[in-house]
Amino acid sequence: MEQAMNKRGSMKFDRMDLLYLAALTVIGLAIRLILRVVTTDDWAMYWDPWISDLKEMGFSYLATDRYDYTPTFVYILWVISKLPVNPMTAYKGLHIALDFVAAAIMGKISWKVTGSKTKSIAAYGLMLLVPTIWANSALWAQCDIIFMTFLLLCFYYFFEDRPCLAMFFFGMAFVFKLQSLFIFPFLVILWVNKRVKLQHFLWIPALYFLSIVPAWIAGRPLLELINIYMAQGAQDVWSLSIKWPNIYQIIGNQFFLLEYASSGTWLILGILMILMYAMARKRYRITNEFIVQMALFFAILTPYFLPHMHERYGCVADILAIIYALMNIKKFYFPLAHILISFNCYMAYLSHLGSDEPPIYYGVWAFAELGLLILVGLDVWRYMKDPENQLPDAGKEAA
Amino acid sequence: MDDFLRDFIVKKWKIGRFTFTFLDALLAVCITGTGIFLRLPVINHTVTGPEKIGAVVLDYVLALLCAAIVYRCTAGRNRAFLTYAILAIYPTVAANAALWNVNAVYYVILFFVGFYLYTRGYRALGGFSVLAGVGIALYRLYRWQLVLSVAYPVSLTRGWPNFYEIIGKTAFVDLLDKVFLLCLAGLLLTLAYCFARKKVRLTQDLALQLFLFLAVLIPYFAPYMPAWAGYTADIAALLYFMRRKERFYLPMLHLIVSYSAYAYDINGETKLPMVVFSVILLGILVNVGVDLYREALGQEPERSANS
Repeated sequence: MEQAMNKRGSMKFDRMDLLYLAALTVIGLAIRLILRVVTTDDWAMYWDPWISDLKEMGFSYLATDRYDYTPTFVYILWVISKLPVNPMTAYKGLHIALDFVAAAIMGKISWKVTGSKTKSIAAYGLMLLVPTIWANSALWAQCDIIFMTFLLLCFYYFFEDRPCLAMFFFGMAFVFKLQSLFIFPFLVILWVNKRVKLQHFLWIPALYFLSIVPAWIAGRPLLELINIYMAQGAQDVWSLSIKWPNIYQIIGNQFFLLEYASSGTWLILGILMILMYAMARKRYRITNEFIVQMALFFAILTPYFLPHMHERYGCVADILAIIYALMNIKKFYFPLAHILISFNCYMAYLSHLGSDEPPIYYGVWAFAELGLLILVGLDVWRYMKDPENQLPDAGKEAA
Repeated sequence: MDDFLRDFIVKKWKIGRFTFTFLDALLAVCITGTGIFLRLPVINHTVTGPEKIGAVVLDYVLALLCAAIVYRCTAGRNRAFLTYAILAIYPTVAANAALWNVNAVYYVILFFVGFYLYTRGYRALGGFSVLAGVGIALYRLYRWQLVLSVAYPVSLTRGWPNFYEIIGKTAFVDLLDKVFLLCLAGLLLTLAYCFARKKVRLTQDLALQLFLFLAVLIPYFAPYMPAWAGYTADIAALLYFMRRKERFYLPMLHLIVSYSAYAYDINGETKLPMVVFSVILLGILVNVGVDLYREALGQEPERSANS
């Protein structure tokens, strides 16, 4: 075979690689083109009317309280409203394009953590085939790929040992979705272990504030804009679990709605406090694998106890599980199981408009999710207990 | 007399290169007869014509062929003989032709002929045989769809307890059928890419694992799979067990899943929800996939970082 290599950064592609990349890109695109025609409730009830209002009112729409997503997302809708193409095509097109960007970042992450070209190229290809990725953007017209792309960049720069840039991208993820906070505790652990500085955390409020300034200038009260996530959380409170297989699918999600909603939030806060206390008491060697382990643990744990979790809220754990398996092939079952759980929830919502139960009862999925939580929790615990991974504690070090 | 008989039944006979005992011959005759008598009570359930009779004959040819494959892969005479004996009375094989008149053996046998030819070194011929089998299978699926005469199918599975039993089989049928075919194509391409990139040599063992893996994987994700879609994997799992005794549970579980799918289609009900069988199949798929990965990894030489 002709060895005409084309250099791409530090990775070299030969003809077979390019052929595979082209084939998977075409397949990924074809999947999304087939699904682009579906109009879901979220499109019909939210994005479409919002875009129509934006067309009618222009930027002054941002002064109203008709939207409950962050203004940054509405700016994107505003741009879409200005385009001379079908809004749904433009909207889905943008998110589909981001699917490919996210797949490319996944490939780069794989290259970074494994050094294997085959794995990296296959990671790009497989990311495009992940059902929860194509279903989110092309089928459901959801926008989770935006913040997931930023989270992937965040991890990439942590692996590059550039914490400031990593925190910038975490801040960008937060600007789009509150769900990015599921993994926030792991950042605290990184701070304790001197991988992140306190000033890096400033990216989060700074970027959020910058993102709301245009909407503030447009006329929406600053307090409302700051509290937009709080207002978002106050909606969809008709069930303790909105089709996410968590603890409420085991103990019952339709009882003590108000009481458990509040208590459940405090419970997870308490759990996180205890865990952070336990993890912050000692210093550990922070490896890339430990970073992903911790993040995956919190990405599964937080929505497991937090009330009102939606079907899509496993998406952060989905991508982290893929990275985890790339780093440690023995953990291949994590993405397999988690994406199956996640996609099942997608389909339960999409196929029956939320009215029917999925073929496997949610409680069973909730136990499966609990199993994954325990397994990754044990991985974290084993890592921390290993004397080789423990560093001299702060007090002794100072002495 | 007793001793004479005792010695007689284990005395080795030799015809050409083939050695056998009286006991072997006795079982061969008896199991062949048992296979026929096992089929006779159910044969009137559907119309019996030349196609069905031909399929029943091919059932035995397939059993012989599989015995030959096992002999090539294991060099174990007893295992090969056992393979023939088991396949002669294998419930899904017998029911497929004799009871149901589906006669999938006409194309499934081509897959095994292909595999056998591959193990004998005739790779191109083997590939051609498998392709011919796939062609016939697709043609029959197409004809079957025409007989059903529906504008568009309402379910992503036609009886095989695959992935769609888990995620829901009636949603977005006209979209997900194409999407999952593309996903399947992507997975197969990724597998081919990784094998080619790692320069994995397709040894007999690996070929058998790959054969079984594909036989489970493809019907698991392909849409509109009929209840007999596990026919090939049923037999491949048995061959795999003959190669690796510790995987005894694979043919057992696959056969249960497969026959339950038959039962669901023929009787209209099963004692367990079909989704349970889908989960079992997923377990089998993962198990075989891990075996395949380990086998492929086992022969991987040391490589540089940029490989």
